[in-house]
Amino acid sequence: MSTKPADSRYRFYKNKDKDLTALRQRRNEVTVELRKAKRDDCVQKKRNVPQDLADEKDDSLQGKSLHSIVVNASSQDPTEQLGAVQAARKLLSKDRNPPIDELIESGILPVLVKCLEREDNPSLQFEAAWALTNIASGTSEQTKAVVKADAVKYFMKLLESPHQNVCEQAVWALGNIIGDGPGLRDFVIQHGVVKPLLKFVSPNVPITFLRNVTWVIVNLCRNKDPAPPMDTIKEVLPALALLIHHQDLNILVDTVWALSYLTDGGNHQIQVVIDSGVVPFLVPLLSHAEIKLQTAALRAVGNIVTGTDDQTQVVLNNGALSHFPALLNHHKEKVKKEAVWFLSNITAGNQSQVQEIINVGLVPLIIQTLETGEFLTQKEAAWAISNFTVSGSPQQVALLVECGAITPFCKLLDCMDTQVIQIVLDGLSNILKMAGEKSVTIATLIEEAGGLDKIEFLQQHENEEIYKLAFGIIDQYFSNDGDNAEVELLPQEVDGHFEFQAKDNLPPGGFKFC
Amino acid sequence: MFVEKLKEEVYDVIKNQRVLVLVSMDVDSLCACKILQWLFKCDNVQYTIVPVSGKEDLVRAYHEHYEQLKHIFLINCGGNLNILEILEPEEDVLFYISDSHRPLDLDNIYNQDQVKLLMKEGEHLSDEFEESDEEGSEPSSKRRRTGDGESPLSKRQSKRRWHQNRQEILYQYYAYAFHGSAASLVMYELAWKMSKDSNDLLWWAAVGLTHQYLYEKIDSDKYVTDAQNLHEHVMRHNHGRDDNGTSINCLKIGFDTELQLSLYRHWSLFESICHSRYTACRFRVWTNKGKNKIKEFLADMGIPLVQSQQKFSSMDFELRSILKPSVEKSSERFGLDEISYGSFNVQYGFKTKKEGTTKWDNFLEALDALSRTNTDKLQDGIEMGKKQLIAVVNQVNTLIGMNQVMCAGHFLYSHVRESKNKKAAALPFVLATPLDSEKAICT
Repeated sequence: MSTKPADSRYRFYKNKDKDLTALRQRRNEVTVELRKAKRDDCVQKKRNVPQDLADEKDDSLQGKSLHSIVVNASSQDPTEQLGAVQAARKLLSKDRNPPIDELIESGILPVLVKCLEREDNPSLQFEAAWALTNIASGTSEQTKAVVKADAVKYFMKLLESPHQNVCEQAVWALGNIIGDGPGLRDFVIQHGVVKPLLKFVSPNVPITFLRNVTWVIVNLCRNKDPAPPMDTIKEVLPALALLIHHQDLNILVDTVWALSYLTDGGNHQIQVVIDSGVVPFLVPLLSHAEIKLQTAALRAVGNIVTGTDDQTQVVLNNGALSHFPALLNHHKEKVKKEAVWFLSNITAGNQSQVQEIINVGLVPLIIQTLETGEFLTQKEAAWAISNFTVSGSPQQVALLVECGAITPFCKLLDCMDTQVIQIVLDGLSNILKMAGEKSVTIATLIEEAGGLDKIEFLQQHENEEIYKLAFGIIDQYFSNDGDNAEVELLPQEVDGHFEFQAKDNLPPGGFKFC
Repeated sequence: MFVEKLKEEVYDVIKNQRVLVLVSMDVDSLCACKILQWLFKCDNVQYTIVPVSGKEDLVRAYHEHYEQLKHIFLINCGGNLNILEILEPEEDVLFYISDSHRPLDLDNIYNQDQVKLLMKEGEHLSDEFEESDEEGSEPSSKRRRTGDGESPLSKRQSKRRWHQNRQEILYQYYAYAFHGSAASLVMYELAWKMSKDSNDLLWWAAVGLTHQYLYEKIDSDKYVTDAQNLHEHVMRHNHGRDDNGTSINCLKIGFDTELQLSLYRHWSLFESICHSRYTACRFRVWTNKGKNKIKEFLADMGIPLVQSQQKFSSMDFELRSILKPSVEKSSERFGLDEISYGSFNVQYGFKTKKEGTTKWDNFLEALDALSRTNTDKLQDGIEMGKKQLIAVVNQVNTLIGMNQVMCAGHFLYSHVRESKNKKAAALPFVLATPLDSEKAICT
């Protein structure tokens, strides 16, 4: 997109490296970082479940019984063996505090993996697979222990089992291993999991099984650094394109999350997703009655519009913007925030895309969220406005001002977030530049909104960028001696009497006139 | 529901109404009440003040006065009770609650119409119960298979688990009692927002806050934060130290480090050390060794015993002026690292300084003693405070001497018999105080 004629204008307005790609990318990084931090938080919380008193009590009892379980699980007597494996499985399926570590320490893993081989005894295979599933559902350490016991190989074999419950359990176990992170994900992919897994995406598979399969596909698409192999993505996408037509809510939600992970991996991946033809079916989900699904869909299309202008246009061509008046008035603040985030990436697009926003009547709504949203929503709205001033034509920016953007925009100038201050100052400075001769009117508007005081105050800001921006705005549009702002911009035209006034701004040596 | 815009959403609403004010009986409440009273006076608001202690008292007071009154203001009471359930009010009765007790009752928080919880700006979001919603979260990356979970069962199961989870969260929420910002600070904020704050109001807020700290209702972190906040107001009201002398009637508030010695300016240093909770516990005054240690402490500071047993105001001026630094220096050796803290003091005309600490002991004299025109009453209160402290320490002495202290988990407790010390038994909080001090000993 850097070849477009409009682009030269961006560079002109943004003196730094803030071209649009960079803008989008940075936004993306920040959100991802935040989301990651939040997810880590959640995980930690789950692990910090307080120890149940009742569980502590039977610890000593358990020690003995664990040992006998391990011994009996290798028993030659089939009933005894099945009973022991089942007992282990039951321990691991308790509501709280399953003794995962204790069982690993007692050496049960090789025993369970051996049970997976017993094609003559599908019940035993099922119970062992279940137990291993639950061990692999724990911490990364615990999952790795299962992998070290060479379980993946045998789970792969179980995918071919004639017994569906065994297949399903193997799928589940592999899902947990794949979900551990990019390392184990690719490890299982190398074992050839994708093809046999996708075979289960068929109409005669029971719904609970299909839910599990979909969830494993989510895990295959999840995690960046590195992203899943491109071949895998291409293999999985046709299945997702099928599943997005499914009736079941859980399957739909997982499918859409999988798509949102794939679209979160750079423009190339976005293109592959677009080529799979899912976008026309993804966009209508933005108005689905289930918030769960709405949120996921919003994330997925939101990721797509972080891509190139052409990629963004595909989403717009499917009528995405018509869903946004409702989304911006959503009762969940989180949805509102994501909706404005989406729009901020459209206003970062080209002029016709900005015009589409105007045509749907979204500008007043964005300004309204800028005014009344919670802070994080306001921040997204500030981005949307600021990007608008970069991408929009002078007429479009003038419309933005007419809709009353200046006042709520200026209000954000006394927040504590330096990034927000910077984008607001950027936006204001762009609006002033765009206004050309009418910059005096804009300046008055800013002053009336209390913005001038704040900008003056920001000249003392410790952040140099902010100081420069604030100083620049004051210097160009609010200097007392500057009815004729042009003169100041062109110091080389200074003649004798002007020396006095310029003095303050000059380096100690002063200008040299030769 | 929480209310932060105190002026718009509370004061402006009740300004033209008759208001019933129910006040709990502790220092913070009295201070808050004084501030509110003053605001009411400014605007000619009709009000009835009823002191209450305890839940039954609250219910009784409400039922005695509620007729014709539609606006009920509660100070340091009712926040942690489901107010609508226990009072069963008409639907048009509104409750305004400024209560430092935590946790606040969830029914109060989520009632949108009748209950307004007055909050200091920015307080409630951080430490209150927040609804957790699972909607829109990403699918989990690992799943454990529990139960035989097939669909009809699992739905009921997940519902059960949701209920369990809810119970647990609720239990954790209500598990521990603690205190939030002092009611007097909230009231002061209200006055400030209405530009009706003055040094007097500020002083009451300071007393309320100091009380919270000295009774260990809030930890020192919270105290320091709030005190800093208040300090800014102090600076605002007490800047411009004009050299031509402050007028006699001018109340002047300062902020300085203060010693955890009760009333020592109005007592003798020795007595104060013996009867202050902090030092009494640290030195173990009920043992002979402890008494000797106090003398050692005084000697270490270079204060003659005779001097220390005189009235503080009669002590050598030089000794008095170096008291704080020398206490601080010696306290390190004696393990009294928490003896000093930042506090407010007030100068009223030519009289001697009174610290924020001084007033915390007297609450029998209630509201009157807090107004500056009534220094006599304050003096009485101080005397009363001394008696009370002595009583407490004696009580603890006897209890320990008679081996009546019992240990129950984290707490030591003992039973104070009513007949034994008339004064002690008559005061509701004395029972709690030895408990507190015992706790201090065992830590």
